[in-house]
Amino acid sequence: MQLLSKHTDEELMVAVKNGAIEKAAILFDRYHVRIFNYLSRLALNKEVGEDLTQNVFLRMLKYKHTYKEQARFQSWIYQMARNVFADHYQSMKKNMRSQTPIESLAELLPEHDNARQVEMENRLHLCLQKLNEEQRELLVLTRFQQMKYEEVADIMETTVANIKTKVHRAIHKLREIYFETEAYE
Amino acid sequence: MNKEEKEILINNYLLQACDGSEMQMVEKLLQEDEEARMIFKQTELLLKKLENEATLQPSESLRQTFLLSLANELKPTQATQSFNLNVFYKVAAALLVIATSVAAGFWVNTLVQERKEYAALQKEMQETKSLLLSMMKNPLSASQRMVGVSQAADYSSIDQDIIKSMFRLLNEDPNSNVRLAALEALAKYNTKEIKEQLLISLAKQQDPVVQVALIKLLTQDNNQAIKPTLEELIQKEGTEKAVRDAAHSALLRLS
Amino acid sequence: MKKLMMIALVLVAATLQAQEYKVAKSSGRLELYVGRVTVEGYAGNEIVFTSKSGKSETDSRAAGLRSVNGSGLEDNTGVGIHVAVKDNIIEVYQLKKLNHPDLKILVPKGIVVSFKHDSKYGGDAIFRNMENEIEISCQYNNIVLENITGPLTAKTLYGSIDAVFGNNVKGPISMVSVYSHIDITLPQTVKANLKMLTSYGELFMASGFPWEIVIKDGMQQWGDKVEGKLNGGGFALDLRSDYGKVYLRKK
Repeated sequence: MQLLSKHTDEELMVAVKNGAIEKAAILFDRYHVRIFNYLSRLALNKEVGEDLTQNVFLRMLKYKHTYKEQARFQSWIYQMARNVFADHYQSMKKNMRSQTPIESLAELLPEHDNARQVEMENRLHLCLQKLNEEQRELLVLTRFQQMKYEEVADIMETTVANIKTKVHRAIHKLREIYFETEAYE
Repeated sequence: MNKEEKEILINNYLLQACDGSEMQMVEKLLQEDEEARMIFKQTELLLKKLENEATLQPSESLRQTFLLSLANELKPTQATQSFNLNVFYKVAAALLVIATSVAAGFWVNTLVQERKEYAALQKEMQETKSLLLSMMKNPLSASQRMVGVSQAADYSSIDQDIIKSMFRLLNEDPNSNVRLAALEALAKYNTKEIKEQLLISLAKQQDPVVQVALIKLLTQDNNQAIKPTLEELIQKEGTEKAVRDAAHSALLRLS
Repeated sequence: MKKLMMIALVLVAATLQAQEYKVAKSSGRLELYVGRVTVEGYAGNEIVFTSKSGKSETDSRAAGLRSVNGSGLEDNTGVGIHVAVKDNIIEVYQLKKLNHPDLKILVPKGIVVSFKHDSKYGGDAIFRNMENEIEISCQYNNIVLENITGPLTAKTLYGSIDAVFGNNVKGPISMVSVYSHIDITLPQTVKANLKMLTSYGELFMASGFPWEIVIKDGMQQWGDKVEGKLNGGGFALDLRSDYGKVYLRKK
């Protein structure tokens, strides 16, 4: 079941801000899969991804008054997701669990019959894990979620040129790691 | 042109961030330069892999949980909401009278439809919740209460009624397995408030199996606040040996 | 004289065999507050109580009198127990704290069976061939379950739990012991969300169970906890022993 509406994200969020909280359900339907993917990829764990996604949308309700009417909703919700992840990351470090157990990585793999395919993708995941948080985040946003540089720049509050350079570096790093590990095998 | 510059060009080409002259440069490079061809092939492969990543699907409970929290947000303002609804219908009626155009009629219709969908949704959420609460209260079947607890745990992250029911089961249920299931569900919430209530529960808990489980849970994160309760349990007459053992070893771990 | 003795003995034996008490109920809840018991499922529609011990001889002096004891309960069944029926609940009590009749009970399918015993004096609680919902709560008794289906909640503080399930398993299933082992045998096809937990014991599982690990809890500072799905997941299956071992076998 999906709730439909012909209003823009921004119109809906303004409505939520002004008390029509039920409209948040439409925004949830439009965004939760993307936010969930974004957070699961960053956290390298689907369960954590779900928990954090839940937090993002609860925060959306709690801090609805901070939404500025001219702001792009997508940027606002992704910024909230970034903050939720940052909080999670901090508390995880405190709990000395910075190392994600390898078992949970297996969960991120799509189901394939082809074992070779799984192995290849697994390596892609392991390589992604070796990037730093920001690089992984950039690849998730630009490649997995196919956002435009302007959109990413808006979320990260920086310039398009800066994003462009950083994406390039992330791809460069990933290519090195990926083809180095291949050389080892 | 060094390798770094080549790579920037190639990446931009593949990411479709090149202008015309840059594109020509890349195409020329690819014809002449072996290193450039390798970088190109590898990057192209990687980008394809990244883009072919399947979209992960969250479990259905994610959506249900959020909608349930939303339904709860709406609950306290029900009075004003029905008032708004009245106003809304008046406005809608007025609009219909004034605006004879088909477009306006359509617009109002969709809005009315939306309102109805929310009402149905909210009702569904409330019904599910009361079903879970009544399962958790079923005096004739412990397994029904267990199912109620575990489903409610999947369902809700902040619902106060459900949390209250879980604490009632934890402290009062005649069945230890049900108490443990409630404890497990509550432990998942992991908020400060719930931890405090769990500590209170340990002080008045009568069931030895649950006492042991509570001690284990509450000493997990090196929580020193539990010490007085543990000492009390050890000194209290009638404390089961198993509980005394668990309290002793917990105190050793904490010191 | 010898002949007479023989006849007397046979008579006594016969009365021992014949001690039986029935309650015509095929639904509701049977609550057993006794120290040891054997319960078996059957296709009838009465609850049938039999006792092998009971009164071993008749006291001629007691003729016309009624047996009373500290618990204030009388034997209203002839098999050494007190049975009280309140609407849909059938309560069964033993008469003395230290005297546990060797009780065997046949129950129809539709009855929920609850066994509750906190005292340290008692014996095994045995449940066989049952499709009933079973609730067991005790401190010292060992629990033996043979060819049952669940749903089941079982707790014993110091005793052990041994369970062999039939083919058509129904959840939820929750088994807890603090000090002793839990040994459970399930059909390989069972669909469940499995949780196994111990603080000081060990967890064992038959190889070849089709399962995937969901959480191996990294937060756990000591002890072991495993969560996983059997055959893709299904009902809740919780197994916990704080100091004992947990064994999960397949049929």
